[in-house]
Amino acid sequence: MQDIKYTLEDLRANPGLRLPPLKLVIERGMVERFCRAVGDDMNNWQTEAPPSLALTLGFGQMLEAISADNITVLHGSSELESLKPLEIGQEVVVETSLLSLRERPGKMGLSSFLNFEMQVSNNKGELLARVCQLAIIYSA
Amino acid sequence: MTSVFENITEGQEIACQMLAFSSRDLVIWAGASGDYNPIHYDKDIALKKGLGGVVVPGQLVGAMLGSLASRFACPSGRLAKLSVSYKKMMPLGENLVLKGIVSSKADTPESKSLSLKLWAEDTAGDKTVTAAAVILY
Repeated sequence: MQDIKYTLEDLRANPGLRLPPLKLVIERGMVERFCRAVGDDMNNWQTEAPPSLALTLGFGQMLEAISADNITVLHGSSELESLKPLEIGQEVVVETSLLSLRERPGKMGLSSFLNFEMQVSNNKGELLARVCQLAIIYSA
Repeated sequence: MTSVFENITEGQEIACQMLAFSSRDLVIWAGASGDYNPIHYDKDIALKKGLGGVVVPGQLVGAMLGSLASRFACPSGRLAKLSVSYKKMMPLGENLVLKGIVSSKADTPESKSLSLKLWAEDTAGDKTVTAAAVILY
């Protein structure tokens, strides 16, 4: 996992921030772990991953990049558009960018709403899935 | 639980699934998803951050709702869209029920699709996670 960390000041100063592209393989073991975690039967997914596995691609990278000791990260929403199957054994690239950042005072202090987009493409550059993740940061 | 498109009707219920997550379930999800947010495994940190204790990752439940939709779509349909909102914290050990209905069905020469509404409900009857899914045939 990469070690790049961004403070809220960094994020405010860099609208459209892009995280380093993440290259990975849709390994059978990854699919098995996902199926086990969500109670799905791996036998249904012999050649491709469950479409909802795309929700997890790049999520850890995003979370690591924005997490600091003095903040709380909560999850607001997730949007998945699955365009093509994620085939087992396939190499993919996940490109994550910060689409928007808005802030408002709340009960727990200043709340920052960060909307990230993950684009998952194959090695021909074809878009396989698009995911948007809303992370909510409290400075407490 | 699978379905044949022609036999599906609007308003049809999708089979319920009852759940109660253990710490082990959350560890398995962390390994599968890369979500190592400490509020999902470290009680002291969760308390320090003003939460009542360890909370279940919303996305775990969202992904389970997605799987429910995918299984309902089998064998000929495919999950094309999933929108998930995380509405209420779910403490570790809370009993949840996953539910869903077919909210609309489109059957035209151009396309065959289903829209599903899915949600997780806690013991208070509150919807903790809600989702909308589109299945294409």
